[in-house]
Amino acid sequence: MGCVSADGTVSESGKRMLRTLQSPASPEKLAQDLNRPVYIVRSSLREMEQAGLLSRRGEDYVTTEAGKAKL
Amino acid sequence: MEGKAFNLPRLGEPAPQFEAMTTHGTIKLEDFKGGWLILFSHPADFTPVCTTEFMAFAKAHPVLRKMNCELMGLSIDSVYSHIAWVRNIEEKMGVKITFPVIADLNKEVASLYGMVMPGESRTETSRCVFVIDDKQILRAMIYYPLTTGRNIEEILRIVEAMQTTDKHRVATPANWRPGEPVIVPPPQTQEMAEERMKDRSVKVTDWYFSKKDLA
Repeated sequence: MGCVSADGTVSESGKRMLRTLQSPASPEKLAQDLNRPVYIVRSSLREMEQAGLLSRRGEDYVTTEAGKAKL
Repeated sequence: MEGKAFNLPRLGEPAPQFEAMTTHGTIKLEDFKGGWLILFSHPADFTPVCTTEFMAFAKAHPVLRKMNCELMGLSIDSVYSHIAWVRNIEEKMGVKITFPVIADLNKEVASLYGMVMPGESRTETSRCVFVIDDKQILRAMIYYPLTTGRNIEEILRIVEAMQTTDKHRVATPANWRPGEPVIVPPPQTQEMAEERMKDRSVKVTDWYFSKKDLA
């Protein structure tokens, strides 16, 4: 949901995703766990992956060390 | 319009894909895969008819979500204008806008979907509605003029009708409301027409015109 600003600050919703994804999960599972629309989750995960805060493991995303540093 | 080609998408074909800046961040159409989407355009932020429509869409959003259907708006305004406007709607009208709004300043999405009608305006999108299903196929289109606010109940009805069609393989008659009888698809061979006339599980008016109640 536009969760990484230009200066690298992560929004609260982004941090919730980073916290949860310390255990790998798919966008659909994460949307269910966080009770968020899946389109928002997909968009946010893509943004945070591009920022280096998440990495992919097949269909799943997992928080990187850079992502953990934002928590 | 400055040499831009304006397409008209076609029902039954994949909805044109795009990536756009919205009030909820950068979103791709494919982010909605697995659920239905109502993509709609409005002429301009901070205008009265559009404001009534946004409030009506926002009030319908919880009902749509129960139908696995999301909303996304669009106009040829900046994301800053969108943010200011939805904040204004919440402050002045008491209605929170819960769906993303595309800031289509370069008219990329408007061009893909044929949202601009030069006879009405060369700089604003008309009131267009595109209903996209969970496989990202375009299923319905509605085009309204700049001066006439849309009927959001009709848009909900269309989504429910098409989801009913998909689930039960039926059609829906004019003015159909959920709970009312649906149309059984007409037979397509002589043999099946004869069988339909003997079919007691549906209400047969004639071989091509049969209805039934859904369980």
